[in-house]
Amino acid sequence: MKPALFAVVSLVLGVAIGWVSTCVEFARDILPQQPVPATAVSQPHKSGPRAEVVGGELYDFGQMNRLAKSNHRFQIKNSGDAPLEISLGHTTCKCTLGTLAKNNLEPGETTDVTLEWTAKTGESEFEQSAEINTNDPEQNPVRLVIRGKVIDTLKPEEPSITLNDISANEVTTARLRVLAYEADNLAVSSHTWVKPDNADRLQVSFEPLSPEQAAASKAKSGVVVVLSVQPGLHLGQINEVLKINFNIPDQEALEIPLFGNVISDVSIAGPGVATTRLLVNLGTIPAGSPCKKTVFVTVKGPYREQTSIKLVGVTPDNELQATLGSPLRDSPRLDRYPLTIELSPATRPVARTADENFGHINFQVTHPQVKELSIKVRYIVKE
Amino acid sequence: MPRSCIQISQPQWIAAIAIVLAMLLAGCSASAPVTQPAANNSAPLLAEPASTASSERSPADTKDSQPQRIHAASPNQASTATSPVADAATELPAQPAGNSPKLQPPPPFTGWAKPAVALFITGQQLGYIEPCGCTGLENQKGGLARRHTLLRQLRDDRGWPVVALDVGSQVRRYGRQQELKFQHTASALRTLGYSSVVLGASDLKLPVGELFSGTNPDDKPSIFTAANVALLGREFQPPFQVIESGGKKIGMVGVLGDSFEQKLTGDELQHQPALDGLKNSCRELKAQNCDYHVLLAHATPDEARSIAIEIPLFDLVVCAGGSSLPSNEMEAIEGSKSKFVNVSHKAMHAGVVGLFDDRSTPIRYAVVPLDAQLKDSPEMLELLANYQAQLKSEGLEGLGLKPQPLPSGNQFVGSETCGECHTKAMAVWSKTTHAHATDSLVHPPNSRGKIARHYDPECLSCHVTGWDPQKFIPLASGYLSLTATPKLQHNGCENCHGPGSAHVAAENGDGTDSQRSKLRASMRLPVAGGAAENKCRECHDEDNSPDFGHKGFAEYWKKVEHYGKD
Repeated sequence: MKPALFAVVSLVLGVAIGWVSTCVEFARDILPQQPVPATAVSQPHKSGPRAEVVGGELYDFGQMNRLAKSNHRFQIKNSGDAPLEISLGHTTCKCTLGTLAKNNLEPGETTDVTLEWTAKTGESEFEQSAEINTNDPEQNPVRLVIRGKVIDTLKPEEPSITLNDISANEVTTARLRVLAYEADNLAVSSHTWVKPDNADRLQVSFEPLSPEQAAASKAKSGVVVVLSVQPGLHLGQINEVLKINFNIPDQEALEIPLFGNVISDVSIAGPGVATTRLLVNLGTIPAGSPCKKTVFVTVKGPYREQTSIKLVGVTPDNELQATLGSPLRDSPRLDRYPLTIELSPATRPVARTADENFGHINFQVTHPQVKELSIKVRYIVKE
Repeated sequence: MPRSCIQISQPQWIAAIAIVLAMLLAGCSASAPVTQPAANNSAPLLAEPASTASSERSPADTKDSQPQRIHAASPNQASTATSPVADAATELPAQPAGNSPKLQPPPPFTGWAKPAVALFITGQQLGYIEPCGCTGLENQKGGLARRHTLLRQLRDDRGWPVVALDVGSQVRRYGRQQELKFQHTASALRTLGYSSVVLGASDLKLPVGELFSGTNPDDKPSIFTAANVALLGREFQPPFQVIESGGKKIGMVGVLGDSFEQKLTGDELQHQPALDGLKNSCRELKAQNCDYHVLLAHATPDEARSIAIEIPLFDLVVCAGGSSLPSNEMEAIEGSKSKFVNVSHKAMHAGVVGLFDDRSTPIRYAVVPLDAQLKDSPEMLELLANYQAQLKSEGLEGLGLKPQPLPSGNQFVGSETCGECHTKAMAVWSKTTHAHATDSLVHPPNSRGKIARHYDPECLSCHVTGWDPQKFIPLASGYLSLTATPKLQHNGCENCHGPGSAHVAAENGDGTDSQRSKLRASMRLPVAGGAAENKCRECHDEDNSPDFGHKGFAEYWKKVEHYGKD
């Protein structure tokens, strides 16, 4: 009997001591009393400290001038029933958090923290945030957010004019609105291209923005820059800068970069294709293995409907075969001809990887400016 | 002698002590498995006790960790559909004032069991393929090399099935360098095992041919998707994708928001409004009977929320943008069953959504900062080295970077020439980091030092003399290469004061006294009025020098303070 009673007492005592020592050892730094779900899907709040931002965690400052500084005072309240611990956490680059007057808040107590920021951004939408670390198991950290619009004296709606791929043979037009947030009657006094080489083909005109249009963008006035790219630019990248002077005293000239890519009306695209080099890469193929790839000859521009493509030759013809299919017209401004390229399994080991020995596929074209097309084919056949 | 109630013999005492000790040990060891890894702040961010990690890993898990693509919408299922360097992403650490070192947010994945599947979400990389190290790698977040390591920790160390997703805009500018950056990023995303990637607005500004060679390098199904945008033809980018991982079938649809879609140009792009593209795709996706539906929205948050309300299919809506510090909370979209997450921009963080077979907590969300605790993946460092090698191979001309004419017509002469007269200023400059700015590209003084970056225009623009620091282009007579323009290495005098050829010629006897005086005046950069500060900010910007904004110009000026001629 006695040994049994002793064993029971020892068991209870042991479990109790084990439990207490475990809690003492791990509770603070390792074992969370309650697992903290990292999800925001809110659950009913249980007892304990509760961090509440009086007036909300988001402050919309409306709009402010670029590079200006501003601040907002957030009030943190402990709306729980146990002491709340708080400390400053991470902030984003353009924000600083003032000091916390208190790091411990009793239930019902409040303290202020000021978030300061500088509107250093190239964008018009501005959002920054800062975190307050807490011991609230459901809100750690609390995230304070400031948001609003950043305005300039003068601001183009986009940082650049980007034309994407344009035809060398047709007029391409692009428009960009420049908004004035302080001047009532914005007008252009002069403009110039930084590099004059293509100035005659990059024609620019300006249209005033109506008061209603300006107001819709929260501006006082504005100008539309109308760019008309004339045919005849060289194939390849466009990288120009347009400088515009406005009728605003002491206002520096606005520099608007122009980017684009002038491509031939007749080109190629598809898997493994380097369009700018007119190169199809078949890769490395084991000798004796079949290799077949379909890419596209593309036709665009003003002569698209009257352009036809005819396959006229392949070299070396003992290694390569090519078949040109009927054009697909699933895009309103682009025809694409499927071009199937096959490498003969009988091809002996070879490395056609340089200009002097690439394979070639040649076409006759009925386009007024593009009479022929030659595609390079790169491949390695290995043992 | 009175006896105690219970007499305990010596063997019984020994037994009692043994039992108590046993209980103590039992109490401790029973708790040990739930030890949270990051409680120790010095430990690797996602490290787990080895026993826990290995016990969760099984051959089946390993197999599951590579998602199995079971469906990508085929062409006939597709709807007809008539866009710094030294890029660096920086965030300031917690501020010391008022901070209690013990009070920290819980580490990522606190309280998580192993999820059935984890969705790994990134977006809006915006060209920040690596933190450049301008302010120290330890102070900067993001980069493909850290992202790869995090994915490995989740897949390999934790044994989680992971499906990686991205909401687009790998680059943000235009030009040959951006094409190469996009292609290398696309290659990296395939290596990282991404399942679904949306084409972002800035990606879609690139020439379609170059874009295509990134999205579709071979005949395999592309990981790039969008319900309402396709390059060349619908058959090349599936409008939706279905992945099976961790025993769950996950359907994913990518979409470009209307505000971006309306600005698309280029004949090679097929595109339509977001809802038009989504309605067809979602009808087909619904028929796939997925367990979970994700909308990858390259759209404004409001556009993304509207879509979730309009199309009641999605369990999760993912977006990117806004503040550089993403919320670690999921938002419930009112009027829908959807949850919403925004993973912020510059890919400084990864969002991880865990799906659990647990009715009480079926879903959890965590945001993981891609900071220096995550070591660089060797594969991604190799990819970054290849990218730099290709920049070298293209050269400035191949990258389309023609020197920009200077309005004044003056030329850069090099700091040595300036120092012939301005000896005191030269003595100050030569002790600053400006005086070996190019060296830090040739031999970067950090853990990525083996990758030279002196062919990278985004780095050169602030590390040599005679470039436009914000447009990443050389100015006429500015630096071209180490050998062609050796006197224009480093961040020299003329970057702030302007090209000095006319001033030097005047001081050597050309022109009148009046002209000489005017030229001297034109070279001055006054501190008063903010002109000097604004000039500094052209390089010391928010990404590459955030401390400049916080500590202020005055602190930095002390390091370079100099005045006129001796």
